[in-house]
Amino acid sequence: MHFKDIFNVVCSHNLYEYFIINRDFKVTAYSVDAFKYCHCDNSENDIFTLIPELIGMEDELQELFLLDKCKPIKIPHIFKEPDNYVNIIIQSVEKNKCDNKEPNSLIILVQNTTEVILAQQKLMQTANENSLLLKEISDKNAQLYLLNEKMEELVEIEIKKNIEKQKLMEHQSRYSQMGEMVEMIIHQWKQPLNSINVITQSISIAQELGKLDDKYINEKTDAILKQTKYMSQIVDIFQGFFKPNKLKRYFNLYDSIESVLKLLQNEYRLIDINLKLDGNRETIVNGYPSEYIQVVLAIVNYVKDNLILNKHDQMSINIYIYELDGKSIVTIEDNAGGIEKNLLDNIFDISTDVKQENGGIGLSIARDMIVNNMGGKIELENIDGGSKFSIIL
Amino acid sequence: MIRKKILLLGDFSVGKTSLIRRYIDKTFDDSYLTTIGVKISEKELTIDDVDLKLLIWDVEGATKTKKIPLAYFKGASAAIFVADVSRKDTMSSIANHIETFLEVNPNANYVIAYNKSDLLSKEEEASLILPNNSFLSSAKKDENIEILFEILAKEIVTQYKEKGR
Repeated sequence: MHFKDIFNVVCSHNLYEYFIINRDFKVTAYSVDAFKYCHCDNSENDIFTLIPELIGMEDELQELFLLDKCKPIKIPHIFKEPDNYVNIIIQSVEKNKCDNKEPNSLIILVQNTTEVILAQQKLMQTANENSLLLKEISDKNAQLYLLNEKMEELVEIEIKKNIEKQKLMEHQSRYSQMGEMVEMIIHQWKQPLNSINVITQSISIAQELGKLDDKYINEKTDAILKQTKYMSQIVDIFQGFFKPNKLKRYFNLYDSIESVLKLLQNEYRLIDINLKLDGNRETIVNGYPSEYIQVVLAIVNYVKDNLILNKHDQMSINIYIYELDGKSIVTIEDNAGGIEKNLLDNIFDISTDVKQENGGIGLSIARDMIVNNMGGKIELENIDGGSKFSIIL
Repeated sequence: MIRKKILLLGDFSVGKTSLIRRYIDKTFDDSYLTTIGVKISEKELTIDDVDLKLLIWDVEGATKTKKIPLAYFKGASAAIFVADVSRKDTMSSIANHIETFLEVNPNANYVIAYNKSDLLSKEEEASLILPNNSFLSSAKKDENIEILFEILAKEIVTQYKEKGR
């Protein structure tokens, strides 16, 4: 059987077509439907026009005509319009090694692989899409990781800044506490100093009038000593309030608050503010008494400033002590008109702590002392005509 | 008329088919369809009075597991290597593609297209350092597409005039 007959039998299955070309790359034979993969009809016999995929391969085709270059060339999976995929296989034919003659023809076999390729394409499409998706996920993960690291760095920096700020505030607070203490002492000393002044003047007058005897001197000396003792006590009391005491202990709330209010009464009376303390006299709490008193002082001072800003005839600050569900509650109510809504939620924040900027222990430190040092809570709400602070411990 | 074969090579989904579609049909489609095997398009040009027909081979993208059949490279006069600027791995694999191609076609010309430049921010674009014979391209925005083919076409014609083939 001639090879052309064999190829024709193979090609009858419609999967293979063939062209046979000579050394001039001209078609000398072809299968019945060979031209279905070409853009032109059988009037054209230039193989490069019929199969442009072979353009550029002139040298390789020439080599196939040589005796020792008999390895076929296979170009796989070429897309042919409209929707076919073919393999092109080029092999020399009519080669006769016995008579040592070089082949005169090449056969170009066109194998239809459309079905296989279309199945492969679906798989490849899915695989490539998955691969891109994986890559995207991996990139996003990397971005998240970097973002996370950056966030951690930022958080660390912010924490450090806050610690520094806190330290600065504490430092400022100490200075302002000292200032307040001196101010309070001065205020409390005014009266005894005045008394001493009057006593010394009376001694001088008594001497001028010749009434200065031992008894008179002893009386007046006792009176002066009484006043200086009182002045010394005042210093001790205020030192106690402002001395940092890191020993947690049980103390009576009413007594502690009353002791400080007594010292404030005169000052508040002068500016027409009625300062009142009432409630449970037996409430005992565990904490730092001097810090607690400072917190009460800070709130009372804040409220006083509000009252001065919104001055009226019946200005009052009422402090009330009671117990609820095993907790001690001290409320400080005023009638200064209440706190602005936008301040209400963040009045204890460092950034909005006005008092801190103006000196004096600020509300943020007051909150810090109650919440962080004593494990309590401090709340603020507007009530009818004013505001209400609650210290819960 | 001289007829020459140009290959487009690179990893999968870098935009080889889109480059050709933009160059030949002046169209762009955002959807991704994997190329299997090779699709061949033709483009006729006249350069310095020489009529040139480019056979542009859109070769399937290489993946880690699938290598490109070397038979595709045979007889190519030039190649455009394509990378996706938003995927670093596709840029770093360009060197391998070039090496493989030049092993088969040592005298062939080539250019590199860093494609999908539309995905880069201005800062990223400014910081990108490109080697010689490289272009930032975008098939989507039709940027630097013609020049890729024109450069190669001119080199092919020059070579043809010098060597007569």
